[in-house]
Amino acid sequence: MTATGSPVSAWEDLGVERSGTLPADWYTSPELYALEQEHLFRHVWQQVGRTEQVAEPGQFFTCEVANEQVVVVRGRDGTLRALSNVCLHRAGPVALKCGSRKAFQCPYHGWTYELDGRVRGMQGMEDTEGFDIGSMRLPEFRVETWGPLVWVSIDPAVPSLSEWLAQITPRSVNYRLDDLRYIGGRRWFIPCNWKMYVDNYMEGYHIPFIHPGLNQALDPAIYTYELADWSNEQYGAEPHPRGPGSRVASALGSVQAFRTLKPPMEGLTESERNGYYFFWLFPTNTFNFMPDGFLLFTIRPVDVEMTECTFSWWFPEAGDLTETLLQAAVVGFGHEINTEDLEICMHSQKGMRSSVYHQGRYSANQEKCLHHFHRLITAHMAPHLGGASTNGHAAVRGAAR
Amino acid sequence: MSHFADARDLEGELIAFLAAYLASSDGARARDVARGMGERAGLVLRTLDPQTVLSVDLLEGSVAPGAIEDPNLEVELEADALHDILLGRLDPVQISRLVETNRLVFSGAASDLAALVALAGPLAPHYPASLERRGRQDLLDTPRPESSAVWTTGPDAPMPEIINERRSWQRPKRSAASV
Repeated sequence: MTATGSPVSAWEDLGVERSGTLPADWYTSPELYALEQEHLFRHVWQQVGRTEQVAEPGQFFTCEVANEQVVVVRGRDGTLRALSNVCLHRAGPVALKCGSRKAFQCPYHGWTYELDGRVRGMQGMEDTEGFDIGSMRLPEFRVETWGPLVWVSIDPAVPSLSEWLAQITPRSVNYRLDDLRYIGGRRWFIPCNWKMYVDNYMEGYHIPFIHPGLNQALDPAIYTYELADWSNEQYGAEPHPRGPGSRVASALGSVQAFRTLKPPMEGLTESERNGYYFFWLFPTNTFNFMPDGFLLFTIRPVDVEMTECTFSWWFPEAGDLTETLLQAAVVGFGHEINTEDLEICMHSQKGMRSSVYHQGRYSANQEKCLHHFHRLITAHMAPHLGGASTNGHAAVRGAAR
Repeated sequence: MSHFADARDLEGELIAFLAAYLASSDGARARDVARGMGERAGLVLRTLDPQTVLSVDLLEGSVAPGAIEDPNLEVELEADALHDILLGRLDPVQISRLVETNRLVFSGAASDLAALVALAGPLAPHYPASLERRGRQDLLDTPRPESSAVWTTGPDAPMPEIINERRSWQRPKRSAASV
């Protein structure tokens, strides 16, 4: 606790040229983490799964959103629902993992539930007084879909998903996400605060040092940053004239050789064909639009210093083995970059615990997006930090609650 | 346990499949590509579990047991992975995982590898066709590996140590003394 009563140090926005970065205790404070869960993550839309997982009646998957256990299920009536995955009896799970069911049953004492959340039945409750199963049902949360993705919000008052995603939708149009095929992914548990991982996504300043492969694959002269209200976008152009690119691209000789074998997807604009758009939407949504397909990062805070990141890939249907191998090359390239990122995040998280580090400074021309994120997170959390104003900006998206 | 009874079983199927490919119009086009690889266009294929070694001479259009000297390319992988790749049963994430875990290893010139990748598309359909011709329904019916999987590295796993490592394709760093 600081002298002002806030769990974290104040952050003053003096513009990217003059501000310090977010103070270290924002990355290590359990009190702030709890406040973020309550006042941030419960009031946003979070991407939790894919529509193909719940395409048919009875199909379901489980997930966790801001400490709420949730089961997303396609009902017999075809309606998609997000139900509390907490049995009304003793808080056991009514569903585990994913699959298809005609009804849910808690494995603890066998209480059963219809797919719309109504209690179906149980045994051993005959002598319990004032017990009316007709009035009992699992609480329901907001659930909507966007392209191939399922989103959940715990907040019943959150704006519609289409409104929430209004800034990303125009960028996604040419990539025709509904026509791409999900081909799997990679999940890491990274010992760092969720903001550390988002911070890393916010700039290309580190690319020459952390990502030798990506650095060779991008043209340093064409790396741009654009800020919007709740989102920002970075663009990196390929090919780098020097090549070769990553381990995988280098195996094929050069980025140019790779592109000869694997031309970009059809229907893209010139800039989309020639580069990568890295789109971030407050607070954790990161969408990577590539000439070859779509890569989604799902970032889920697990604890103050543990973050789950799932990297999910979508590609056009591969016509033959050559295309499959080239898509594998893209995945290998992506995994290499992601692995480099999570490793440096792990190191920097340790650094945030140093007694001699408090905060750093921004690169004014290369860390605009990072500063943008820090403005948004501090403004959003300011009303919940013991009255200590950290920012001076009005509370932001989702109306600070 | 492998889908193949033993090395002899695997070798027999691979030689039959590759010979049929090389004798086909796709194989003739492969010879055209191979001429661009230089005077030699040799590939050594090594499988594990069961262990076999085959050599393919794309210029001559021949396949034989054993390893030729100085091949343009060498490829090593598990027999069942090769089987699943050729049947189109492994998705790009699964293939990249094989590469990352060194269960699919290439060596040779990058340009030759690019040529091999380009040839893989026309090559693959000859494998199920060969199995069918040879009455190997047992191999065609082998279970499909799980697809669209998420490969999870748990919170207790050792973290990677790749940053600051020089990659094989990177130029050596200039020493401080030379700056």
